[in-house]
Amino acid sequence: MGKTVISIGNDHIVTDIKERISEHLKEEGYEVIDNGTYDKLRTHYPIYGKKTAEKVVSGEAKFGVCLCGTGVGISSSASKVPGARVALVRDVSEAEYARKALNANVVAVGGHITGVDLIAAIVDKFITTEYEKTPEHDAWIKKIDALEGPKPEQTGNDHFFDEFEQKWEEGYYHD
Amino acid sequence: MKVIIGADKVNVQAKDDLVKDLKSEGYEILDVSKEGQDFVDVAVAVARETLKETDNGQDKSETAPRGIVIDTWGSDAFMAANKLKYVICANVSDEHSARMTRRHNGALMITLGTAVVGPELLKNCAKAYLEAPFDAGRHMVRIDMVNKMA
Repeated sequence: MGKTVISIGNDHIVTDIKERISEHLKEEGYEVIDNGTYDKLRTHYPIYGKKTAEKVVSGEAKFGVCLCGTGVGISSSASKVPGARVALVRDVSEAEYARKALNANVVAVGGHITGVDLIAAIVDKFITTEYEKTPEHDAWIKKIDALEGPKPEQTGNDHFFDEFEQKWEEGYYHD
Repeated sequence: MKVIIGADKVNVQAKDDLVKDLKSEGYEILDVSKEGQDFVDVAVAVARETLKETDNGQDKSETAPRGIVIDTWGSDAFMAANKLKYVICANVSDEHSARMTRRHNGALMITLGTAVVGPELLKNCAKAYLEAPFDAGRHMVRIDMVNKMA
């Protein structure tokens, strides 16, 4: 049996934390797809939230893990991927609930909010907890899934954000 | 500032307590809670109303309306709300995240779970979110990217 694959992604402010979590997962015997970013050069969380969640929805990975400062940016981006059910959490109990009741497939944590050891514990619990199939849980998931529409030009498109990256390069966005 | 608020059927008391506090601080409250609502219903109701009040989230001025959802876990209403286009929703359980998600993400709404945060923390997270300005600047490129998504 092959190793369980975990898709992981982050923005530039938590790259070191992502690496710690990635190493932990590998030590635990998981295979990790690291979607980046890979250094501390300023970049944009939607790129990595989208990539990380798409790997899960496509079946390349079983679960996704998203990290940014508060976790909000990357998790809201990952949520816009059709088929992704993303839980933004700070504690193990929330992660466990999201797996059991909502069959969440991506967990997001704030790398500047939650410490590395707790993040590792959250991820461990998330990927080892089974969905508890009940009529109520199934109905919730169906209701959540019904909120999203297909987005063929978005799915798998590595150039989806090009217009914004270009504007960024050109200095359109500045403080 | 107008605050659009809602709770699922089991968290009405926590929502009523927060409404009372926010009203006493001068916030205008629109409570969209309906009897029997689950977390998906209330997340969608708050999101749609807040989108309507803010020109699909484009109005991020200091006085722009914002949404707050109270349910049991926060993470479940968060999951539903973020499925809607132009919704950037944050599940928060600390004051720092509540403030920073408005400053950096321009979050349209937050969710708070009563199983996760106690009454005082819930109130302080709500206030930290409502009092925070949006920083715009470089953060707009990320918001433009999110808003292009489904």
